[in-house]
Amino acid sequence: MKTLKNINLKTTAFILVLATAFLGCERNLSDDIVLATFPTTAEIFTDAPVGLTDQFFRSFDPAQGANTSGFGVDDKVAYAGTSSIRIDVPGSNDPDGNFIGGIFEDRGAGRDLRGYDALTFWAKGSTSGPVLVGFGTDFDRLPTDPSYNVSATIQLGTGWKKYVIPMPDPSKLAQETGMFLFSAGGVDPVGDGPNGNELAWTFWIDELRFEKLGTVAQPRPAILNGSSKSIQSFNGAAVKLDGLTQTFNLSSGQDITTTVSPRYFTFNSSNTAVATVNSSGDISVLTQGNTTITASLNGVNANGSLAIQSLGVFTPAPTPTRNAANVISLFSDAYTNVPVDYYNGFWQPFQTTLSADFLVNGDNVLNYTNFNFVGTSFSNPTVNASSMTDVHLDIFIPGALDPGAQLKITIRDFGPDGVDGGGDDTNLVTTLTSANLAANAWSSIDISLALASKSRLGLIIYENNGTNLSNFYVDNLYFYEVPTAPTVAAPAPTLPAANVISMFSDQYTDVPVDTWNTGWSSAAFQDVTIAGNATKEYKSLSFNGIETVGTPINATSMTHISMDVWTPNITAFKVKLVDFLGNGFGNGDTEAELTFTPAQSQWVTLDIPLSSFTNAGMTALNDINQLVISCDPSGGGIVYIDNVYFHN
Amino acid sequence: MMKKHKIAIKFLSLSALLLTVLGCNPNETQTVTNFTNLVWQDNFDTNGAPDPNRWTFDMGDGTAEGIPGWGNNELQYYTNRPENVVVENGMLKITARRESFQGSNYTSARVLTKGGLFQQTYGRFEARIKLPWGQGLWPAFWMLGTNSNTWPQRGEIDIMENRGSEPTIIHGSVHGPGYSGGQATTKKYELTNDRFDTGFHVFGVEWGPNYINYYVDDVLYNQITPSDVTGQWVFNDNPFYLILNVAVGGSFGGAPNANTVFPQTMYVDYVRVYSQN
Repeated sequence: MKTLKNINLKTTAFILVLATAFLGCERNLSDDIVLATFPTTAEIFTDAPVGLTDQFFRSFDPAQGANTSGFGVDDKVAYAGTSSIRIDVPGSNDPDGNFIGGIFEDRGAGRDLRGYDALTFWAKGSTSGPVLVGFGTDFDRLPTDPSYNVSATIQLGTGWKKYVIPMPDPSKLAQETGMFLFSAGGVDPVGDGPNGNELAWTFWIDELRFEKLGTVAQPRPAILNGSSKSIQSFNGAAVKLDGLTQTFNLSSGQDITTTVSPRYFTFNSSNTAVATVNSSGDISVLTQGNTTITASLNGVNANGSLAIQSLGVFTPAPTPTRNAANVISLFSDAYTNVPVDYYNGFWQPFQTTLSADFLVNGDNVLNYTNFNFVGTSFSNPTVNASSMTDVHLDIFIPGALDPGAQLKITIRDFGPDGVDGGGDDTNLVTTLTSANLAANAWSSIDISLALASKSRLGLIIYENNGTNLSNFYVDNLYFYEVPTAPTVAAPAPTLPAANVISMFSDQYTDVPVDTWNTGWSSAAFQDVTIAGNATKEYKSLSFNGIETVGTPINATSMTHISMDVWTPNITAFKVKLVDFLGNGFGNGDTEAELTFTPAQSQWVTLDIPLSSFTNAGMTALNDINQLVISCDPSGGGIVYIDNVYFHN
Repeated sequence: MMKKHKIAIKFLSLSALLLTVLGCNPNETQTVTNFTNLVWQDNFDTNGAPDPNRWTFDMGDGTAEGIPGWGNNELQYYTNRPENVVVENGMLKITARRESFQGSNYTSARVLTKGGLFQQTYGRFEARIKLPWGQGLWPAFWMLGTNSNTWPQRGEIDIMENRGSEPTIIHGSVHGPGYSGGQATTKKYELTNDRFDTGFHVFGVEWGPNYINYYVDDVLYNQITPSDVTGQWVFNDNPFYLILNVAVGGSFGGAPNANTVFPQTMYVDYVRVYSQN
């Protein structure tokens, strides 16, 4: 009732506004008024461009390989009249670009094409070859106002033939500027795929125009290429509807299917609380639940649908923290990924694994479903991981985890020949078990890259080596290096010299230190320079003594001892101060040892209150003769030390 | 078989033809009669099965009649089930389906006025039809003679036949002794800027002594006379009955392919028969 009332109020208000407007107008619109429309010119090229400026042809981007030198008008070849458009398609080895293509653009206001139902033209080639053709593409349209593009790949023969590219819905083309589109690469007479042996050829186009054929019929629009899919998703996921096509039957009795812009479609979500879909076919998953996305084009329901089950809130994989300089990433939003051929090779005939990769809150995630085995290839170029020490990946097992689950991961180096196979490949095989994985949670997996040769890595293969591991997610797949030495200097101290008693720092004048490696130490010590900065290096560290017996330090006016440490592997770093109580070594010395866990592979400043030592039992700080460092793993520790000083 | 026809008048409206005939000195072989006396019709106004007082069915795949595939290697099994033949919304709908049924892979329907329901010698026979489409569909509106002879001696007048793969073309034909099957006397008519599967068109013949005129909508596109056929003229003094059907596959247009969309329906708005005043 309330809603009804509101409507009535609105209607009344509207009528009032109208009445006011009419009463207030001195001149009314005449009955003869015709809304302004745009030219309805049908022809695009007959013997010359029709209704187009000199700059009507706009090439695809030469930076992307488009060859701009093969487009012209041929005055010796024509289907009708005197001239035709001639396209010299480059071969795959043409240094000026290995394909040719672009659009014919109405650089004026555009044309009203609503009275037509197809783009038609006559064409032939110097050989038979495929050409992508279409219309409705305008490079200048904003992302918020996308093109009404339509395209299809046609096969040219060596004789003139008429081609028809139907309009998906002419009523949408009231002001169209994209008159024509074509794109072609070299022909592949061997038919062995795009591998660089494609040959140059020429084709001609004539009598290019829009027509009202009246025989474009039986529309059969489709989304997802007409398939009905079901996916699981999460709140915040962004899903793109693809495979948008329109199929017509032509007067020849033949069907033609065009790939068309989402702008021709009307999309629908059966439950907009769960997910919405915008006019570009972009789906936003909002809440837990189920919805089905469908579409129609010009009143005809599209074949295909997408059933979405949102599982609710998504837990992202832990964000990687390693320095990008030490990482070669194959799949991570935290890094720039190297070129990857594919994350799923769909290897025939035995692979069952499908991909349901998704994007949630800006986080791309690989999802392998119906898993038996699957490969990720990165062979163009192969990855030189010689300096890398480990590979990392995060794995999420949705649903139950079978106790017998085994995920075998093979990392393959292609060997000297640089290609898969050939007898010189080497594999690093790791089998994860259910103990390494977790149900409904991320497991971070780090595998030592223990390969003798890892300069031509090209393939990772996942295999279901156990039972019932049918579905898993992968994120943050990268090789990384655990550096064994810092590449940058420790941060320079900033305290005024007056507040500091420095034992070792380029920033201050150091007090005398007898030795940084006493004879009774168990460590391999040397003075090194890191990025121009003097640094103490300890390897094979078990324990190491640093002595100031010659000039003991009185730290009673100080509050802290600070030191910068950098370690690739120490899990417990221990610092001990020894005060000789003014009467030499071994006469009731007082000491205390503190343990720290510094983050690895980065400079960490340990700024230790001296009170921590006294709290740990140390009774005097005025006759400090020894600073002893030790570590776990004992005997294997590597640590770099800089800027050792007391301060207040 | 394309034949040379004596009349050269093509693609003119019926009235224009009549005016032309009346206004000029007509060729002595031409005979034109005006059929305006409506004697039989079905407008398909009652929902349900076709009116049993007007229509009967051919059933099965022709095996029972001794002609498996109905003599043309057709693939459908004819039924009288509503999913194959029904009157709805003022239309007779004959629907060909892709389904496994009684050993056939397709079903469809054929309705006819055989067996005394309706038959007539001479007259204007027309129907307003929207055709199905797609490779392997073979819709037809046609007639068979009732004299005591066997086919083709008893005669066949095909008012409209269409290959679903040719959505702009229909054929009008006669079959008789010496000119049957692939040797029938036939002519095709092609629409320009239109198709037969997107809207209704009137398909008809005006049949009189020693001539059969073929038309689509208001276009007369052929006249067949005894001198056009390569055998005996069997269309005088021989009552014919009406047939409407949608065949699948067969020797006329070949079998459906993977792109053929099923089901496919032929919509018949009306069938009307006129006699001479």
